Amino acid sequence: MAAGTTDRGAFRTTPHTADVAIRLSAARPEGLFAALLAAMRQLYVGRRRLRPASSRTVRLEGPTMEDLLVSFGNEIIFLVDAHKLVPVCLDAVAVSTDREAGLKLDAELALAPVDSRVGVDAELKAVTYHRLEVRRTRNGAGLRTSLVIDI
Amino acid sequence: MRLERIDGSSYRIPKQGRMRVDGIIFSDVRLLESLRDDPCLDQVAAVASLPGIVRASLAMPDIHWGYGFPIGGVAAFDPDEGVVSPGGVGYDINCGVRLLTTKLTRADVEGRIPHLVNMLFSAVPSGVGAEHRDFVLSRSEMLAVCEKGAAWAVSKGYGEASDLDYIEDHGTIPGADFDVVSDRAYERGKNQLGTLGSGNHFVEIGYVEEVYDADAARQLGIPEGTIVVGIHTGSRGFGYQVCSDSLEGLVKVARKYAIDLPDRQLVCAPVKSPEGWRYLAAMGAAANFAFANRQMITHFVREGFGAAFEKSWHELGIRLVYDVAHNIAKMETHEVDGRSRKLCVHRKGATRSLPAGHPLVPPAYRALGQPVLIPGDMGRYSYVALGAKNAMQKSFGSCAHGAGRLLSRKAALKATQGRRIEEELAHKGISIRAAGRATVREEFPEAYKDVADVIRVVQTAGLATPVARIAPMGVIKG
Repeated sequence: MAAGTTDRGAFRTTPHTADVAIRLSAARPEGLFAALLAAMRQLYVGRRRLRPASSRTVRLEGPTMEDLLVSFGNEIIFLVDAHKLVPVCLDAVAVSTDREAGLKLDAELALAPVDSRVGVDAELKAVTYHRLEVRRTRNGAGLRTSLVIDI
Repeated sequence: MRLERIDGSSYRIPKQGRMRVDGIIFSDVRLLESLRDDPCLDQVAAVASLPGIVRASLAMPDIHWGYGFPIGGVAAFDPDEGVVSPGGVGYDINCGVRLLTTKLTRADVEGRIPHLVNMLFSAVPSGVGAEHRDFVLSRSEMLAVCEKGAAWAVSKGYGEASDLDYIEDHGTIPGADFDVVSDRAYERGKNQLGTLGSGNHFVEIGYVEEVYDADAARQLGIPEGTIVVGIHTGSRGFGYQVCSDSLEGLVKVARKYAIDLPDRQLVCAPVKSPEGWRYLAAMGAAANFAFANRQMITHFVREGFGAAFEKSWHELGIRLVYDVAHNIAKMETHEVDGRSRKLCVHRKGATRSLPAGHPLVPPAYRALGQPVLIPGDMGRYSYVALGAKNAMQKSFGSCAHGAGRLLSRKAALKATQGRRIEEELAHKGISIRAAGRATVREEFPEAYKDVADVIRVVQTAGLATPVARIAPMGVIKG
């Protein structure tokens, strides 16, 4: 497993009529994934504290950062929907180039079981590609993007 | 975005830039006002740029911002030159509505609505992650559901064979193939069949408040004062995963077909390509899951009413009026420039609307036309209409599917801060049970457009003809 990063990135929700739009920013590519996880965790459980009970290694490939973000977000949705596991945080994450695939994501997710009494707050259908484009921030020092989650 | 007025109920976005055809918006001045800051009109223009699109990129009066295709979008593609796009169907494949009628009147349910609502809330798993703990489909059962749809549910005792006559496509999309569906989709959906889900999905008890065509209402079984039940749900996690998988797969082959996309969510493949057929087969599987889902929930409603009134549901006369899909892509035959053509019609947040005499309308309704079900919000009203001839000429036999959201969920929560929506509804005589803490506020009536405005345009444009208005009495939401 490649080394992790302490870049947690940042997120905020923006107006969208029928779904949820999220703006992500980070100093490094890895931070965007941490920020996406944090945003989705907030959608699922709000500010409730979660205690990690298990971990899962996630390995994804894709030609672009946008593809990796969509795949990563949909991986989280699958874990919640099918396995009742909510992401708590990223214990480790690394984005690297791959000659065949383009980009590779290696991540270690800390997970907590969904509280059966409370459940989760939202049913996320999928992370979409809508208007998804990772760009450099204006000062060139970091990365930012917006994505829409269908709920 | 420049709009040209065509008439009192439609506007044109003239072909420009990458657009291959015009955009046509069915709307009026009042509804267009609500679209001023909504990017959905840009989405109509983006859809118009897709290869093989026929006649125009269409928008129904309840249009609002989606992703890729707008919600309320309709587009038809030539099967040889054109494309099929999962974004033109949506994640909730075959999200749709069905309407049940009964022999009950308002007098029969007087004072009993809260009990009925509680009963339905117990009988129909609803809410985020709703699932059955004790009902899990095996892979072979899931295969049967995906291939047979509502017919599978009937074969298992959920309803009667006659129900199938009153479902779009008899509740089974042909060509569905479980083999092209991923393990993940199976894992997400295996214990969700027969569940409502969350958000704007609902089971709603209402009464026929006003009738505009007494003879048609009588033939549909919904004369004034009748108690009816609406069910709105789709393919649950199974369908969402099918769409996700399809999008990720098509993104990987996008370069192969060199289709220029203004938005990646419009990713598509030629209809006649292996990838195109694969998507239609997977979509069909999910659509059939949704038909089976609504059929099972119908059974739970029937049983619940039966228990509440201590009579069989047959004695209560609970029968299916009709079931329509509003997120679907289908191969249909339409007349274009005087010639009959087979087209791949995408409806994302739009309902099929067939006129009297159309062979796909159930024999019992053929002289009337296809029932078009247009739910509003939980505080005001919904409508039942009949498909009209103009819909075939103007919109590939399509119509609006609902009221359309006005406020985002976040804006709805902000607007309802400090308000007790359940009490406000109770003062109007409406009982509600919702599984989610925030659902009632996110779905409060004013978060939606007034569906009466949508119906006005539907009628003026000749897409459908209103038959009756239904007022809510009891609502179960996820």
